[in-house]
Amino acid sequence: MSHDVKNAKNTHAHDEKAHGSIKLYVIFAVILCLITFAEWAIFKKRDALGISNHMLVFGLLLLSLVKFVMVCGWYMHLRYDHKSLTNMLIMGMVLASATFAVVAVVVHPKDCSASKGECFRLGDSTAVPEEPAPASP
Amino acid sequence: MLDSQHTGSAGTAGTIHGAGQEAHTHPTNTGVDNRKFAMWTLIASECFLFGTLIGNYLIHKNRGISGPKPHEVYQIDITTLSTFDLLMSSVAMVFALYYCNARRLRLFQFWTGVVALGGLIFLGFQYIEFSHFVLKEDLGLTRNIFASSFYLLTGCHGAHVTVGVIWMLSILITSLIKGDKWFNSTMVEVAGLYWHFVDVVWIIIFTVVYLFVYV
Repeated sequence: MSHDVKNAKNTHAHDEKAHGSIKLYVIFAVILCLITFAEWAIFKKRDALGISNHMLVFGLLLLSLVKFVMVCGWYMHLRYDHKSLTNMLIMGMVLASATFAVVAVVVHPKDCSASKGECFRLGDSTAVPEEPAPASP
Repeated sequence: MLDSQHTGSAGTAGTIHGAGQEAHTHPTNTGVDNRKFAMWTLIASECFLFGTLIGNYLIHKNRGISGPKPHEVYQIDITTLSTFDLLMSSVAMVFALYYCNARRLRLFQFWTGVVALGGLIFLGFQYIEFSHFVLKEDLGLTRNIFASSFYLLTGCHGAHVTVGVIWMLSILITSLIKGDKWFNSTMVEVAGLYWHFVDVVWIIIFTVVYLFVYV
């Protein structure tokens, strides 16, 4: 066995320890498939199951977050890599969320007036309160 | 100093992978391979881009004055299939990197081909969806603000998938030409990071854009 081949085999063993094994990746793949199927089933059966909108949003966001963490942590090796890479991803996510929050408030500032009794809801055009009609003399 | 402390994979690529191009990996300030660090920087900025596009979509999705609403046009079953497809291509990418590290050329080439094929199938699903919207629902790019924000978001993602497919095919073709002489684990890992990121973005889009259609 040449030195290079021996070196490569050692490297492979090292990588399995550092990145996880094929078995782990297959288990994760099955879990990811099951979560996606669960998301689809929840969406399809939401009325039959009597799931409210709030519960639907919370449940689907939670499942989505689990998938996100699995892909970023294991498939992208963040779990095994330098912390600065994780910080970089978090920084990007925080900046994106902050921009979204600012845009949501700035785009329709009048719709989020507490004095009008109704607050702006994302994507809901019916939430814009109408001006009261002038009182007839 | 940092280099000696780092125990991750990329920073040590030049030594642990032995022969080939990776023997030329330079020491870095951060302890992370420069190519990998650059890819993560790109990913962070892409988070910002897609966060803005998703926000734009959420704000405008129900504000179209004319034309169909999101819940009238979406085909969740087809989108779920395309999500499965993209997730499986991500798994194939993990296998491709694994076999690249293991120096198993044929298996590496096979799984890289599967990744590219998965991407092409996803683009096929997107083509079917867009065709349905335009031809059956009369929902062109300029029909209303929902259509504009939707096509901007999903089209941008589709463009990223296209770039990923081209990248995978170029890696596959290079390895087919160069054979055993080409085992560039860091390059495959960087390409894999990009591909996984495209998958992660779709995970969010699938939930926030498609499954929250009635919210």
